[in-house]
Amino acid sequence: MLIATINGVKSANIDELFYYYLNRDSIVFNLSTGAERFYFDNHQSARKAADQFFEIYYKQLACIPDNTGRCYLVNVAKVISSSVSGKIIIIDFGLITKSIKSISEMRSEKDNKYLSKIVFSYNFLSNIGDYDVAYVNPSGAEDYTTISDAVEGVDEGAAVIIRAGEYDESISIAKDLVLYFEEGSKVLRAIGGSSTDSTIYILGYGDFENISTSFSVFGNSVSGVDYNSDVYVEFNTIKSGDKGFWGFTGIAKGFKIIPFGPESIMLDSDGTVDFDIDAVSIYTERDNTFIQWSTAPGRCTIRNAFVKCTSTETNINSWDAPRMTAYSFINIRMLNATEAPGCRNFLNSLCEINENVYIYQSMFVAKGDFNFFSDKRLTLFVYGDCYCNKGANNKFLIGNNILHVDSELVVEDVDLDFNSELINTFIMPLTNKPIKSKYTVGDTVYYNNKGAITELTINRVVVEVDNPNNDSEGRQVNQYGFEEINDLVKESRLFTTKNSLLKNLKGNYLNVQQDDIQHRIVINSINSAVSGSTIRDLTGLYLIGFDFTHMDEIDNPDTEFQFDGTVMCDDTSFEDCTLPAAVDTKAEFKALVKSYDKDTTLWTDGEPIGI
Amino acid sequence: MKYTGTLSVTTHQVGDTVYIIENDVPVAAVVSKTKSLVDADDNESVQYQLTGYGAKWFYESELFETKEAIKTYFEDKTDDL
Repeated sequence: MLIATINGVKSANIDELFYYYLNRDSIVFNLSTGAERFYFDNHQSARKAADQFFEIYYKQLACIPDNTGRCYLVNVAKVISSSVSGKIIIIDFGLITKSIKSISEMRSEKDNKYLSKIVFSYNFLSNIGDYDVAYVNPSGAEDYTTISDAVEGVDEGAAVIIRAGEYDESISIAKDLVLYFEEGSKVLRAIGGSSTDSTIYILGYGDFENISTSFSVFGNSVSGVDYNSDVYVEFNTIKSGDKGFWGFTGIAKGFKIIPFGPESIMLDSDGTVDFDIDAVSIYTERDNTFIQWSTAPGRCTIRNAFVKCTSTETNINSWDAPRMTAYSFINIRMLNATEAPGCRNFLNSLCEINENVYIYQSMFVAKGDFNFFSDKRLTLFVYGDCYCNKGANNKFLIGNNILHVDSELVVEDVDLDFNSELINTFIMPLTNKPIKSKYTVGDTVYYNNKGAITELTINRVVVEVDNPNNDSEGRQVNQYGFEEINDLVKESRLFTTKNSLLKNLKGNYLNVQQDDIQHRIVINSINSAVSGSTIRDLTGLYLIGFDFTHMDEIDNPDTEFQFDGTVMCDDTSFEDCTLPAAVDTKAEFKALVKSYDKDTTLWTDGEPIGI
Repeated sequence: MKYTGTLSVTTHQVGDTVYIIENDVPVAAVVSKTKSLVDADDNESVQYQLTGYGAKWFYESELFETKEAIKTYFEDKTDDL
């Protein structure tokens, strides 16, 4: 396939491909000849090219997300085997091995099962010699003329090949079986199953056109259905009068779903459902594109879907008695073209329990209100580059819910073709950062080095700025290096004076406290309760933050400060204090005072005294 | 001995879009983190992390404000030959 990139038209060869993935404005193809990155003007152009590639080769591509939201499109034609170790999916391509780390062990198990099903499907025709095979041909030229007769007639584990033609019959499968529909085969009624623990594959290019009001694939309209059946369905198109699927447990991979009724994909059951649908294009003019209605806990994974809905209600819905426990949307684009304000696009859960919704590298566009809504409580986990627009009514609502953004969520205005210019809100731009650090190279600071107060001289400053909260402030982290210590030390662990560090470490032992009632300061246990607070020696004390304003309360004798019994200050401003006559240079002052702040202690010239 | 630090406001701020050269092609990226380093000789250097490039640090000399700046850079280099 030829792909137009910003640096010319390039060829992407599926035969050489192991896997590819979207990375912002580029697609990375991992080929037998090495990795190659194709660049595009913007993210949407790259996504569109990636989607076009997928649309051509969807049958042999499996989409697996990692724990950062990156979605790997794996060429199953190259897969030798795959396995799971905890959260890691290990894919052996022969020449290379690719490990993909999932967000959870459940996710890795589900994705590996999904991958193995597609590998099985892709290799089925090559391995057909391993099966007892029966052929269905409505012309009567082969083994059977109806599918139901073939299903009834073959043994467990057999394969049935369905030739082109129309099949207007009810089909019920109750055994392990592979049905392969060749191109041109068309099924006009529901397929159902009543088997327990059966492993069933419906493969190929079948068109399922059912104009009844209840199109059912392995649904509960069939008596005695067991939701534990292991079902994998591939299809070309589904044209449904009502529902695409009903009561389905398993994996479905196809291309186009065209529902006429109110529900495109309906999962309705009285048992636990675990539904995984891949590679579908859905256009619906009615409500409820994806829906879950079950009285037991269920899960639904939707991958590589392009959905356009013009309904006034929801695209994604689960309601009433359901016990859906998790939706996962992986690399999907979903558009609700309804302009009506107040419509609850995308998610509407009236569940009685909390739901988790996981979104990977997906795009949600609403022409009307954009609304992730839950009457109860919905938890959204967003991974990778996800896009949500605000909608025409400028309402971006995540009602009653919790939003976890593990990497990036872009909320922007994009038009219905997904190609308008981006409004970049990835990270709010900062200005004038970094600001000056508290200390600089050459400064002497004190540090608690494994219990010993150590005097250190800074020999390097490392300042990092980022914006984790995406606000206008950002975050600045100052760290300092020293000759004596290998690791950088954070600013909060350094002190200007030895006493300030000591106070930080042993404040209570120094008995430094302030009585808010009597406005007393008691230091080193020297306290004259009758005459007020007494301070014998201020040398080395770190008094920043002490409030002396109460000394104005001259009627309160407890506000007096004394040195060796001499009242130093009683309603007297410290501005009147003078240095001893012997002190007339900075050096003499520093030798006498010993503890001072180099920045806030002003010398007689009005400038900071410095070190 | 200095009183003020020598930390400077970085040329590119967190959130700014910059351009780098990757495989001979200009690529836009957003600055996600900056790191300013002042060493014992009072030399200051700045490095940048860009979204989509993990924990890799880029030197300021590798970043350009516009695609045109890259072109100018190469033209100047050509002129120097």
